[in-house]
Amino acid sequence: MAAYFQLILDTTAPTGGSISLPASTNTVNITATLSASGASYMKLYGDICASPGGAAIAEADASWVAYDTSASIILTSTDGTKTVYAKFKDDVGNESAAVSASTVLDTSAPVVTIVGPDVSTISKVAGYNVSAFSFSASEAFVEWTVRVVPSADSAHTAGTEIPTTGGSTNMHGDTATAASTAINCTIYGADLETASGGDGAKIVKVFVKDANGNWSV
Amino acid sequence: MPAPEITFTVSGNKVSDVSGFDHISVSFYSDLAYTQCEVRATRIQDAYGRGVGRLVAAFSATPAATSRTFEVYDTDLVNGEGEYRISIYAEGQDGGWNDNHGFIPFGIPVYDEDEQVVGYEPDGGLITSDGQEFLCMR
Repeated sequence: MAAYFQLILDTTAPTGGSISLPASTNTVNITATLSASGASYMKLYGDICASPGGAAIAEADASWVAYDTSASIILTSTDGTKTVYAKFKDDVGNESAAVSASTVLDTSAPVVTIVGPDVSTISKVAGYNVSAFSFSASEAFVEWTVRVVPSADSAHTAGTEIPTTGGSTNMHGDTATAASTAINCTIYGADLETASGGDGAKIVKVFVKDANGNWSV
Repeated sequence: MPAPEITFTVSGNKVSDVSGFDHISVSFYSDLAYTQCEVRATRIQDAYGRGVGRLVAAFSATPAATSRTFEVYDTDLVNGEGEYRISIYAEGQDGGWNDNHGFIPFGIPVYDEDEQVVGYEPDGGLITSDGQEFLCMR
């Protein structure tokens, strides 16, 4: 009986390799999206590290892992443009050329500067019931909130946003605003009371969020 | 006497030109002694047979049940990418080959009560290399 088997010669590397990253991020932990036809393995290197704060992984130090269409990666920690490279390999060692993608790591929070208020004590009596101030930020921002917070170091999720039902203005916004552009605000006594309740000193804090999701502190 | 029947194992079914992936290993043995053996590589869609295609390995007379090993390298697959047929041809001591192009004298089959072949009497006829009884030739 004839004895034979079939054997495939394959010297073609995986094709159509690609990697994509978010355009920007405020965290080092991101997901890379990958694609390659005929790939069994892949390796990633560049401005990524094995654990937060670690050193960048050079190609020679990158390990081949099973091919997947997504990969959780950790960017090196300094802010700036990060480039990540990917190579793909099939089951008989054919290796593709490297492809790359970049993202901007921005973990720095905007810094808010407040001018005012024009009066520091208000009531609900007409003529004495409004305080005005303005604020600007060190970088462009896409959202802001004005809140009564429990302490000076509270974060943007703490306390209560001052409502505008009593006539206050610009207590919240989501208009893209350039750096150093002043936003004028007014707080009426009735709204301040709604947000905080009771007489006494209130800590009013303005928070802005940049395009990468970093809130001021 | 039937032709040698080859039993083989292969270490893989795909090779490339990358070191470490550029060959497979094949071990085989025959149920009968053979006087010579050749291994040929041909493209799957091409003609094949003894003397056809790239000679991958050759062996001289070998006793029955004796293991032989050879490698098939990417450089043995000389007709480009794709599927190849790797054929192992062995010539029995009576001159019959195990390929598809010959007919092997085997004798008159002797059947048991369940109509199973239990042996052969001499000078009975031919079987093909696929082990089937040869009935006629045009």
